[in-house]
Amino acid sequence: MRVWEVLQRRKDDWEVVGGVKAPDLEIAMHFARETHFRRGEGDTYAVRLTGSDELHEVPESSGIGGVIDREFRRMDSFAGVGGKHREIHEQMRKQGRVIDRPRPPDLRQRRATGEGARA
Amino acid sequence: MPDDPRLTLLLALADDELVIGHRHSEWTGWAPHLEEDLAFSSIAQDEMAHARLLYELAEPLAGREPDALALGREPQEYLHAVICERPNGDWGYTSARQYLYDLADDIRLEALETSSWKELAGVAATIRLEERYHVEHAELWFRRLAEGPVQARERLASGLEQALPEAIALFEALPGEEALSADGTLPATMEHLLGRWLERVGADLEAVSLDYVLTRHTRLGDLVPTSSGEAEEGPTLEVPGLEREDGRWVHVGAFGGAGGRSGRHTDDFRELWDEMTGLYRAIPGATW
Amino acid sequence: MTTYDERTAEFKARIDAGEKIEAGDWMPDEYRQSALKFIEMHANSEVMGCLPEREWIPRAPSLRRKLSLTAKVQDEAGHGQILYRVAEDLGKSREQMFDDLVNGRTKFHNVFHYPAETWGDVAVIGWLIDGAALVTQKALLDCSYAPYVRAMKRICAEESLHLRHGEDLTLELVSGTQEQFDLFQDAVNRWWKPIMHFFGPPSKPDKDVLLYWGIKTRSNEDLRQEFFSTYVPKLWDVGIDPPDPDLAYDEARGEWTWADPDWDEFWQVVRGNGPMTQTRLHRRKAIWDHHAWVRETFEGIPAQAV
Repeated sequence: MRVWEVLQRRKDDWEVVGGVKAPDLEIAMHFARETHFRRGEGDTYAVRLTGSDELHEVPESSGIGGVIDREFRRMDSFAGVGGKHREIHEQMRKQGRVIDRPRPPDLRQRRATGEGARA
Repeated sequence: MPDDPRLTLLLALADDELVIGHRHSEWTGWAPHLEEDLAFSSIAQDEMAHARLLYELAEPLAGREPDALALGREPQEYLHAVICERPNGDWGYTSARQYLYDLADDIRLEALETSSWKELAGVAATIRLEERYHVEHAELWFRRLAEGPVQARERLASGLEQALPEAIALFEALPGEEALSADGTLPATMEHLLGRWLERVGADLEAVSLDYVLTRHTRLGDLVPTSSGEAEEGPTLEVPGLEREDGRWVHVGAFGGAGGRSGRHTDDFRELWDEMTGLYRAIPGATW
Repeated sequence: MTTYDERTAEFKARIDAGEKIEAGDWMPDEYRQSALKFIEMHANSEVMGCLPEREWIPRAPSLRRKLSLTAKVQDEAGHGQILYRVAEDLGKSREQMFDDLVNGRTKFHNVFHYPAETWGDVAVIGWLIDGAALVTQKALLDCSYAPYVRAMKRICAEESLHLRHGEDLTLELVSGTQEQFDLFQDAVNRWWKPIMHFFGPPSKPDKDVLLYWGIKTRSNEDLRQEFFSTYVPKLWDVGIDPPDPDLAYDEARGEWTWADPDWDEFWQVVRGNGPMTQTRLHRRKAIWDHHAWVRETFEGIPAQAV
């Protein structure tokens, strides 16, 4: 079993983004698509046997990241969760269900003034 | 059983994808090789996402939205083939089943791409683009195991033997299929698709000298859904036998009785259904 | 010619100056061993962390959650894949690391030794535990070992997505039926102690080997305080009360007070006596041992000409 470097294309160059363990090139290429590109990070990718100079680019780019909408894997699909939290907080406040105890100064305010732990 | 043959078709396709996707997803987190875990999980997610697409297409016909279709029906209303509901077993069975299933899926999607029902043709074409990875995956494992160490070959062969009769049942005729053929919704009959599938499977098995698995299936098999409780009407499903004719593998005889396509499932599905639908049904109307 | 001690001192000075170490660099044995052990345990925790949540994939109450939970557990396996790769380059094979894990010779984080009893647990794991993990993982972005830093960048990006999903799932519960609200509060009650254990006992920074080598960059207590500040107000704001009567923000001192959780239980679990430790390891070991033939298939195939 070998370690194959997995590379992503950045502008005119290839950058190593990780590695896969596979018995041969065909399987390494097949694995790399889902280990490192399942969110469609790029149109193409390549693998290279550790220690070798030879880059093997995937023959065609179609299929990386899938074809149908994969909102369940994307960053933006749960955007607005902060707003949802505020909305529910408001509802709960009206119902008198909020637990109102001392707490640190508002996180946003702390960020603005630079004090407090890194968020 | 739905009155609308188009709905029957959609549910059969969607339920196949949902139930096998559900089984595949059970490997996520502990498959035999870490990179394979990720690849196979993507395949599982694809199947479940394909099911969702098909349920969305079915929604206007069924009058129920996708979650209600996927999680809100009674066991005998699901129309998937029994092979999909079987537990994963070991990697030999899983690989064998994935190979047989995804080859069958590719063949039926290829036919559906030319369906007279344009929306279905479009969905089939989209799904088939993703199936390429599934077929590639299936063929990679098929070859590696078949040509691998003795134990690997044995595990694959054993899995194939176990899965084969129920894989043939994927091509059980759909209730109302004649109407679907008549208007071009289904461009090829299930039986015709079975023929195409057998040709491919036969050629692949011969290439690695595993065709003895097919030889062992020359007689009409008797698939007995081992379900308890519900009254069964009519004979259980029988699948055709297989023969080698003019250099290719063909099926001999017809299907008999009724199986998954008529909602007849095994105890394995009862368990699966309980688990899959339990929480959804526990608090009806809740959003999650 | 410099002695080993001299090279080590030089190495330490580089780290203290903020320089990063690469896989091919010379490193003192203690650094290599500390980094390897830490990263190995992190990798182990990712793969064992798959197990509580994967139990709910078959039972997810909607197609969307079924898909996103599968994707999430996939990501965790993926994190394991990334981290084992980093650890391998420090000198131990993945096969050996897996074998040690399933045979109980190496450890994984306490929090993954507990059962996921209800869908409420899925929410707690997805939001609060991932939140706790993200707090510690962001601190690792300043780690002295560069390959680990690169791995953490990708892992933190994916964990942020998980966190939003976990919060989304939680919000559905707390704003749903009373039964759903209770499901989440009940899960918080059962998970609070393991969450407190997550950050470890208050450590002595001067005795912390990992802090010394810059592998960890913040103390346990510092991280726990950040967790409280980030999550406790958010829980209170939706009517959820953690089961610690001493949990309070001391405005004068600018820090949280909290009741000591049962540290005996902590050490028990560290030693492998958690409620689900043996069950999960046995199941993993059964799959691992059974599928030796798969590994043999991969090992035995001659490499294609490249």
